[in-house]
Amino acid sequence: MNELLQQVINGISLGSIYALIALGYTMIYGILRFINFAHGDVFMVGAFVGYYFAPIISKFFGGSPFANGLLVMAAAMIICAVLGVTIEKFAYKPLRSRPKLTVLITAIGMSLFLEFGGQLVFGPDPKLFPALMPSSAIVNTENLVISTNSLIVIITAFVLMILLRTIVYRTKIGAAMRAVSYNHYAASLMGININTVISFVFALGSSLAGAAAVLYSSVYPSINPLMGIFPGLKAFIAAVLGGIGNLYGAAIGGLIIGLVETFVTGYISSTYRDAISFSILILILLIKPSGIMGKFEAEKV
Amino acid sequence: MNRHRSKLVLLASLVAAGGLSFLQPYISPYYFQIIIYIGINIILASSLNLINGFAGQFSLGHAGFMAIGAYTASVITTAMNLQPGTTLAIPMFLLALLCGGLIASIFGLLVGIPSLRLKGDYLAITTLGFGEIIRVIIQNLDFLGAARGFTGIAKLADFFWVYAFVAVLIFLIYNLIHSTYGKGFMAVRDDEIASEAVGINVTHYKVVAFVTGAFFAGIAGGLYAHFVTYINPSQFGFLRSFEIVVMVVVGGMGSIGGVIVAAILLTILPEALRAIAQYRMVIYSLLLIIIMLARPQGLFGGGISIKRFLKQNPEQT
Amino acid sequence: MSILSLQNCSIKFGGLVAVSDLCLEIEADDLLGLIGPNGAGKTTVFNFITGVYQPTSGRVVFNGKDLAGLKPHQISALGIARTFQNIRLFPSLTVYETVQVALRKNIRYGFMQAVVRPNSLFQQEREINETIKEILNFFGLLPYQREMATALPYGIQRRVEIVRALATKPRLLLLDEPAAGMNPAEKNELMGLIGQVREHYRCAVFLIEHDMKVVMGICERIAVLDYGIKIAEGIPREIQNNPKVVEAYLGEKA
Ligand SMILES: Nc1ncnc2c1ncn2[C@@H]1O[C@H](COP(=O)(O)OP(=O)(O)OP(=O)(O)O)[C@@H](O)[C@H]1O
Ligand SMILES: [Mg+2]
Repeated sequence: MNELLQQVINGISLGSIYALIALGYTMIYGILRFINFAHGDVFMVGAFVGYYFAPIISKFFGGSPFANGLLVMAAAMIICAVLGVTIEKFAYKPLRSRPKLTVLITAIGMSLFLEFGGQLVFGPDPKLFPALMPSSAIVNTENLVISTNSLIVIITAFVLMILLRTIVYRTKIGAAMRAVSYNHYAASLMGININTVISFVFALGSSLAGAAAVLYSSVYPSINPLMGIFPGLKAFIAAVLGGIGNLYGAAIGGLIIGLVETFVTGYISSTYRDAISFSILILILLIKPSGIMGKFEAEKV
Repeated sequence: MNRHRSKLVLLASLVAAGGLSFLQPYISPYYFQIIIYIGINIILASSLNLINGFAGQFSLGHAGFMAIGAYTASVITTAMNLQPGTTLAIPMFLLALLCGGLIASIFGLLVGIPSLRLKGDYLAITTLGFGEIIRVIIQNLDFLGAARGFTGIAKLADFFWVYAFVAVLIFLIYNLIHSTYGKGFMAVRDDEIASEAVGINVTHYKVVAFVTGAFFAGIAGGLYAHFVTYINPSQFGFLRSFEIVVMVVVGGMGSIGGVIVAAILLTILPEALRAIAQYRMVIYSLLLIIIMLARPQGLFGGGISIKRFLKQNPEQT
Repeated sequence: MSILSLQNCSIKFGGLVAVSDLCLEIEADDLLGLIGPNGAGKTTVFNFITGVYQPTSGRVVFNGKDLAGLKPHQISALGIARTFQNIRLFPSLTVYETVQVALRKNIRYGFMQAVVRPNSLFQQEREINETIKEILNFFGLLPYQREMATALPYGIQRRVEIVRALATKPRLLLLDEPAAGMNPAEKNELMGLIGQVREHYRCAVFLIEHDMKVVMGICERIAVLDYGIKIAEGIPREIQNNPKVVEAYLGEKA
């Protein structure tokens, strides 16, 4: 029983991180109808930002570990946002009216560029992400350890998601986002600046990836330039599972993938962890390609 | 349509491959290895070109098919304890290669089925997932050596075998796309709805492309395994698939010659850049981005237009 | 017996009823026009006849055969061909190859023969080549045979699309706004072309068109659709004077 509870908590903690990344995929897909393959690598950059900023912040700022942790996360979010917007401006924007396949290949190229550029800049070897806060166990009984760390991950992720919800549904730019994702042309007729909205979506999505990276690295502290590939793919699967383009779907999909993965690791074997997510992807695409919350769009002829 | 020309060219290439293979003792092992890798990469890239370039189904799982072919053929030759030079070696090796190709093509059929419903991004990620699933499964199969890899494969692949298959594949693709039957691939790639409207069975063409492409990727895997004599699952990860995609994109999707040239250049380039090996993948990825921005038809393509390839972004007016 | 019969066909997209309870008969040598304001559901009718969509209810019967559940390529094989409102030519094929693709069902060989090229293949390919030349010649497209179809002037693209449809030897040809975007000279040419087609191919023609001069000039009968409902059917003169039709069109303009 305790063991089951442990898996559930671990699963929610991992799943809420996937959900944060998945939200970025889903928002970008919603607005540009393409999968930003490089999103997982923006996440990786976020982890390295945290790695390099954590010592600087604790040295020059010297606040409480909690305040320091928040600052590290803010730094990762800001730099990832800038990176996301830059990628969009240089690589994707010139291709906006071109065939989707061209954009897809460019996104793959961008993903590889960040991964192997990262190997050059940060070095290919794994690095140890510093502990931002001393983690202590709140509950520690037989077969069950609940650490402050996993609670902080879950709480932070949910706070960010609620913040995102507020931005999307309660602000002017959020309304513009929804209008653009509904119909570019109509939105531009209504005087919405499409380019601004797209940049904003990239900033928002990438900053969530940055935050997710700091959370992820404080749970799995070994970081390297290729670390974004799998969390990126899993989060993408989560987005598809929930119904790509749908914010709630991304959150739910993230949690499901996180839980399933933790259970497979705990009860079957960790080697099947990656394969299970892909199997879920293939199944969902065959059974209900629109995902749990999505609507099916037929091609108009 | 010239009646016998393509057959004569095939025959001539096979003879040439046989003749050139006698030069092997005069070439340094290092250059020889590069020449073999070039051949294997031509098979991989050209077979992906059939799926990706001609039928327009963007697949990121080619290394998965390669792995299936490599392991199947290796299991067979190892179980039979084939040794190079023995009388049984040649026919049995060929048989093992064909089995590898066949099993790979069965998986090609399985992967082709989602392609009937999925397009573009979704198909890409599904095929990528397929490749990863294959890799993870092999990693967990003890009789295949699991993560440690499969050792002691006989060195049965040589210049002749590799280039014979190169010749056969090119012959096949050339004949295919120059027939009325084969024009259907391009029609499907260009516009599925218009194709169906003129009586083209889109499902048929997509599945045939996947099955054939997977078959030859499987053959390439078998050849590769029997040249390097040691294989492990990490050799068939998705970076491998990406590399093959890069060859097709650089060469020009749907260009037979362009893809061959790209496969040759992109096999030599990393060797030439050995001194700065850590830049290799960075250069690859930049190449991909720059080509997409500046010359989406590929460096050597241009025989065909890939305008409106798949579909224009529906959001654009 | 009519060649195509639509029996109480309806189709819904989500909550929107695009076509509602439509009944229509087309005879084997008919030239039937379909008109109606924008968004009336005209193209949708073509889409469920050709199997792009399945009607939500009702039956489509072609030549005595119910088309329910058939794929578009099977329906094409039965003898229905179409053009598209927004031209859909193959961007990487030449005019020659475009017609060649449409002759796919004339060949009796498959993948293996295409690769190994037995003698019988050359015989079949020669026949295909002759057929293509004949069709292109008949429609005056021979000079363009090597050009990329999508690189041609608009009027000629429309013509190529019609020729591609005809190459499948249809018994019913569906034309979706073939005159859209044409100048008066091209429109006259198109009307001549449609006449030629009926004479030479002896197929029924079902035509969607906004240009009243074209519709009234060539159609023998006209059906009118408004909000997915057939509001009138008859000979051109009856349609012109039908108050419901006038209202549907004026209502749209107001
Ligand atoms: N795949 C689809 N999904 C949702 N709605 C659709 C789809 N196809 C058509 N519709 C809707 O059905 C209605 C009829 O469309 P249709 O294209 O048949 O009109 P039309 O009479 O051909 O108009 P036009 O003269 O503009 O070509 C429209 O409201 C359209 O938006
Ligand atoms: Mg229409």
